[in-house]
Amino acid sequence: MNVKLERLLIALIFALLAAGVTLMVVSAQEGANATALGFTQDCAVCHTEFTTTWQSGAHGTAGSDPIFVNEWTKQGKPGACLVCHTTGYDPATATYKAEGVTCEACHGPAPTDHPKSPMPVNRTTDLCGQCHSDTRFGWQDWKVSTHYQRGMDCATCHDPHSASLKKVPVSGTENAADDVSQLCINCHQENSMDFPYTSHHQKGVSCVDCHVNHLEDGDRTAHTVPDHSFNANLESCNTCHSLQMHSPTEATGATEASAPIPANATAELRLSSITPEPDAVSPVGFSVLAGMIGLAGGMVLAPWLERWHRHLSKHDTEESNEQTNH
Amino acid sequence: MSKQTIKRREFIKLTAVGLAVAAGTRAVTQTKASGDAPHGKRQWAMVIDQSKCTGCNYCTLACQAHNDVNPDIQWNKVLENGVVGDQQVYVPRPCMHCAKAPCVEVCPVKASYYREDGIVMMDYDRCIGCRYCQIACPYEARSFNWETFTGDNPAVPEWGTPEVDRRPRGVPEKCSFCYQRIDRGLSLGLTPGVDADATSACVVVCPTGARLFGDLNDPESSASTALRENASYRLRENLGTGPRVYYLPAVPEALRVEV
Amino acid sequence: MFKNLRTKTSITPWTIWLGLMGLILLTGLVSGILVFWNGLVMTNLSDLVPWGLWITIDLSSIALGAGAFSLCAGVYLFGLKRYQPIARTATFIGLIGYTMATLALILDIGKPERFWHSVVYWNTHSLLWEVTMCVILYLTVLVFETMPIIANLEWLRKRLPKIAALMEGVHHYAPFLAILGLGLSSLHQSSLGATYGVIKARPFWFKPEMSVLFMFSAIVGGISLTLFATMLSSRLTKRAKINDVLIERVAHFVGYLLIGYFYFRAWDALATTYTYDPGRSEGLRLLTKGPFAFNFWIVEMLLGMIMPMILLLYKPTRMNPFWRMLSLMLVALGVVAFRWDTNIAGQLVLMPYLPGAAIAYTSYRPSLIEILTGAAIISYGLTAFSLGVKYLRVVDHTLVETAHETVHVNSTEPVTIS
Repeated sequence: MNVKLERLLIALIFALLAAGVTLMVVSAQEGANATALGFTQDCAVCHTEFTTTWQSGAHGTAGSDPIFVNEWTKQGKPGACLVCHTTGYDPATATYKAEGVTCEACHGPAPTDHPKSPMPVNRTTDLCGQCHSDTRFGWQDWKVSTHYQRGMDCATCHDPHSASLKKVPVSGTENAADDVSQLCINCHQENSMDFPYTSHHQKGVSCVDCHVNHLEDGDRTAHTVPDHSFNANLESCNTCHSLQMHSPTEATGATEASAPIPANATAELRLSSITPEPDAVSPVGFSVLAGMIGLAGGMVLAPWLERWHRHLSKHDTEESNEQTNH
Repeated sequence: MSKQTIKRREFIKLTAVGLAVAAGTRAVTQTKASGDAPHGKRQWAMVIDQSKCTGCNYCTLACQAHNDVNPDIQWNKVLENGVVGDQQVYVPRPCMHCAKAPCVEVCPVKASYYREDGIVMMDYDRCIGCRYCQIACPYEARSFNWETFTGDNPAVPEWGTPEVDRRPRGVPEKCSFCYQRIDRGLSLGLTPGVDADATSACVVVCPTGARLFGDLNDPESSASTALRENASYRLRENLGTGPRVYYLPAVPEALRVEV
Repeated sequence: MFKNLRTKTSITPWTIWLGLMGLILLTGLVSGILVFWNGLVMTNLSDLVPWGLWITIDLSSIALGAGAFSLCAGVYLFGLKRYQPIARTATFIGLIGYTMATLALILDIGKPERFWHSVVYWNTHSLLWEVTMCVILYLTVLVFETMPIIANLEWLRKRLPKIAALMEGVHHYAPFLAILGLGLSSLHQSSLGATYGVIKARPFWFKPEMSVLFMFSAIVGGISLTLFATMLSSRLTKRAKINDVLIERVAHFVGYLLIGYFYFRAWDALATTYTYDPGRSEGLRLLTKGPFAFNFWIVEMLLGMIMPMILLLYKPTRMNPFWRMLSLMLVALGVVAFRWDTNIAGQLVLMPYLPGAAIAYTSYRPSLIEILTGAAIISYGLTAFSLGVKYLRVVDHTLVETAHETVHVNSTEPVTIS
């Protein structure tokens, strides 16, 4: 065999070996031992979409929020607070797994073969109730409300990750409504139809001002209670009408004007091009038809028109001839 | 000259025989090729109770989130259809997953096909985007991807997280009964219609429980029970498409009571 | 150097024509690239009207290319050999028509790179699959049938005489190809109608006579277009030599065909008026009183069928080349109008699927991009035909194919062919 070819072959074999070994080593680096899932850092590796909303929300900042830290320190750092403000608090050893309400707090311990098996998700009110059953959260109000009786749970209105209310897109706009009442209108559309015409709405009162009024409990800013029984009671009326209790004076309007409530909050994609009647005959068609009839008419009438024109011009020339002759 | 005539006759004879063979083969393959309805052990169906539906569109949003759907496209549309008493009646319209689906029959490349459990599936890799299925669907259930959907999906993560790939530009897409959730749930021993992780996202998220999902072949499933105990109807029944989505008509007494 | 250039490029009607066509083609090419880049969102197609101008162009091209199979069948299978020169022209027009249709389809489908899927993945239940397969096969047949025409190219004859001779020899198999063409064409022309006819969801389309109407209109329109193109070329260039007697005879035949086509179309429309049928009656209303009123009454019925019927059956007008050409052109236009009406009207009527809901309507107007690309496809057809007339003697009735009449002799003696 040719010497050059031999050398080339040997070189190729070495090259392949080197490439193969490198490939093996490189692929061995990836997919390292999976760490025990359960902490925020591990979950966020795959579930990146939740990181931003959760981190800035109440659940994510539950352990680090300055108001909480202040109060907690002032009260001598009681362990009772940490039961809810941390994940996996063990009262016996006074240690916790992570600060704030992390993934594992609600989603339980991750199955060993996750993501093959889904994370456990308890959607019932009881899960939220583990921390939110304190009277400071209106737990008893929720339990007697019609919503709860009809099988709804906290997650119907609240987004558990961002710990805020869910946003429902308003038809025709790109953004979700900022007004909290939009969530109510979304389901209770009939009630919202007539409300814009009432004087309450004209003064800027929205659904939540009466139906989910904050009931004061001390002056703890962190734990005021929105009334989750959704019943508008005397206390909510008194927010503005207290002076009118026994004497006919003006109401003290306390809320700022809210955005006008759209009549229909359903996100619909009904195209504007749909009409109940078909388009009419286009005017272009009529004009073309008229043009063609004109053309045909002109063609038919042409000989007579020609004759008439000749007759007229002959008459003129005869007259002018006569005149010149005279 | 005669040689030419004989040659031509031979050709014509050969052609006739060839055509006959072709026609015969075609007839045989036609009878064998089954575009017929599936007949598996389970037959999934959805039941929507119009007395409970408030038109809140949570189902639309959960579907958009779990299937990574373009916000301009709605696999499940909630439409208004009349008034009962003084309450508006809504019709949420997913894909009907017809037993005799026109879309399956007309697709030139069989990108639309039946699954054994009755779900009408889409093979987005095979589809050529001819839109014949859109023309044929009596329920306007299919939406075409006229443009590429890039960027974030606004419904994610508030209403759910995507479980299937995003479809490319140039193919029509439609509701899939969240087959990915059904399959995953079944492999884990869960029951679709009962366990949330094995059921379609729209059924799970409905706050009033207006949507039910279950196996028609199982007499104890929520769907079969609902159909047995209530009057139900399907859309455009006269076309004979055999839709798998049943509606329980809104009953004035059962409609949402004034608070 | 520049002097030579100047003498070479002279402004003649031919160069103006080529220049205009080239401009339209270029505009269309740019538009087409835009569509491939940005997607079909550039069109005015929507989920309610998914098939628009491009599909109409596709349908019309296939219909107007039907002169090929009908005339070839007449010449080679019914023994009407004297019309062979017209069949040549028709075959070439057929090839142009089918390539135009392919271009329109490549533009229209959402995934053009997957156009080959129909050949590999079959759904024998689907009429569109059948159309695609038959069109592909028929395109192959047309290519073979066109080979003798291409063999007329001077350049080919000089440079590659053997290949030219081989291509010429394909004419030997003309009857065989004609049978194939007749079979395949009958299959897909009628299936094109059935593509609409099986859609139960839209009662305006759901009728068995769809296949008959499409087949009939294709035969009538295809032959008319061939005759019109032949006559027009003879008037525009001396290169196209025609035998007017042949054309007059086929035009007479077209007149009779028009009676049949008019009968079917008028009866189809009349039968729809009997009793109210949801969807179907609304569709007819769109045609008679709605946005298609002008298209239907004037272009389809009056100009497309009644006027040509009278003009072609009445001898004095048939003998007059101007009236004959006008009638033939109007027939072709009427066939295009029929396809446009059928395709769009069926989609504009929105059948409700909610109980008690009313029938609604939508509208469709092609976008600029659709019009530009459509115009480019048409100009491609016109250019190809003009080039054929100029270089391939596509319209030349003095060129009688004697290939299939030749006798193979091995002697050196002269042979006289009677």
